[in-house]
Amino acid sequence: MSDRLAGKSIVVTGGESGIGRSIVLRCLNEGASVLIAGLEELQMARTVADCKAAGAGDRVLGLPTDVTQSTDVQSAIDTAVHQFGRLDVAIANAGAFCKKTTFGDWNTEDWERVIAVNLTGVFYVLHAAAKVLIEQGEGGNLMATGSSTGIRPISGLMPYVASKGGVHNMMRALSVELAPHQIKVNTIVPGMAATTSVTSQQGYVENGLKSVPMNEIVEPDELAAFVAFVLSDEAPHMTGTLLKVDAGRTSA
Amino acid sequence: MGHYDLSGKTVLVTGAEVGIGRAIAMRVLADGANVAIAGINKEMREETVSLVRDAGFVERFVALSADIRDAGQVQKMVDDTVAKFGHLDAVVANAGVMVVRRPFLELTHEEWHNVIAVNLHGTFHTLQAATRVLKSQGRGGDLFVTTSSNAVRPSPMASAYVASKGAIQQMVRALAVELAPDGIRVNSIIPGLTLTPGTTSREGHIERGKRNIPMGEVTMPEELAALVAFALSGEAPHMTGTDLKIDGGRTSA
Repeated sequence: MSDRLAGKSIVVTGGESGIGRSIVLRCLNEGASVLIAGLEELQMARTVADCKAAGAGDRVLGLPTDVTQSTDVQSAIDTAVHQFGRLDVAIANAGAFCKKTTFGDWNTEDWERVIAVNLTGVFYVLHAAAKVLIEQGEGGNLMATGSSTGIRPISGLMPYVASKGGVHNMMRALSVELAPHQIKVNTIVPGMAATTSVTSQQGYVENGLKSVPMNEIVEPDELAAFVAFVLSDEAPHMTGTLLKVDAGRTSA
Repeated sequence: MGHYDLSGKTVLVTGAEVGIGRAIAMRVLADGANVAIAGINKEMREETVSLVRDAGFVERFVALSADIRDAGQVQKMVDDTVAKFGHLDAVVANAGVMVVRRPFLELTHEEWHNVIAVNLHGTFHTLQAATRVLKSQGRGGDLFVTTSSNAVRPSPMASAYVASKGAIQQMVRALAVELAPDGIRVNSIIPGLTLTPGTTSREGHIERGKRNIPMGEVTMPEELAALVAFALSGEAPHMTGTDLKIDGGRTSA
């Protein structure tokens, strides 16, 4: 693989599994240094070990992080700056899924948990990272993982859909606001990607594929490849763009 | 210098004598693809041919003449590409016309018909001829259409152009759905204000346009070309119906 991302310091929340893990491995493979800020410590230890086995050496770090705690998030950003000497990219990827529930059966705890992780957690990450990027004065990249359901909702996932819609528009607002600082803000939009939170739910994939024109599930590596392109500096004016790989789900 | 390995792929780019189309042709050539370009501008075509020759890609390259308003010429353009390289993998329907700034009530019917003939009918001719080949080959492929940030966020005094680009933007979406079962991906290229002879030759166009761009800078054609190379790389085989947008934030504001 190339060294397109050599010298870049990247923080990925939720980088221990799923799409985050693919992004971490891809960025390391292209030469970046990556701090994984993850909640699932056992899984994170496994992912860090996989990264080291793939030759990442001391370019990878894992730090236990709960994105609903702004102090955790701040310390993840500070640690990356301290260990790697700077910050170039933050990818607010950690998210919480929810079980399918009809509207009347939602309780406020479910709603508050999903919003705390998917919306406020993303805000904490972008806020802490943007401060560092502005201070450094050399631009940078902010990303968040949205969802095709933020564009085309699935029935029964209302808190999740609402949180992801919020992420999409937060990113759009930030792309405008941070543009004068040469900070690019783009949203990763997976459409039914093969992650355990999706594949572990009985019948979810089978059911979901009915509304996917290509009739296939998206691999996390596809999104990671798109992220690597955006971080490669080949497209320095790409901001406010949806990095969408969804097999046509939101087009239909 | 390219990054993605496109060797063995055959890519046809319309309107590739200048600007974004030329940048796409040069980039995918650098990444190893066979390339056919087609258009109506003979003078600029010869300039592109010499660029390709200087870069050492001439053996994987053919330059054709085609006016996309004419379905017969479009069919011949596609047939000639397949005859030259043996197969077709991707078509970039990029040819289009801009229109002089014109208040709506001063827009003549002739101007309207010409913009629609090139940008809408021409794109339709190109995509239909290309799809026929891709379907008969039976191994999928890629279609791209160069639309415009104007399809999302219109500028005043350009109603015919905006309407034509909005239509092809939606055609991309329709075809992404319809052609998905055939493994044919359909994506739009959405440039914001991009540095091309078409934009720089117009008095005040760049200065006026920059005011609406949060990053305050124009997009370079090479950025869009790099994104097309990524899309063709096979690294994201389920990317279809996506707006490949590089606009400095223009459509976000």
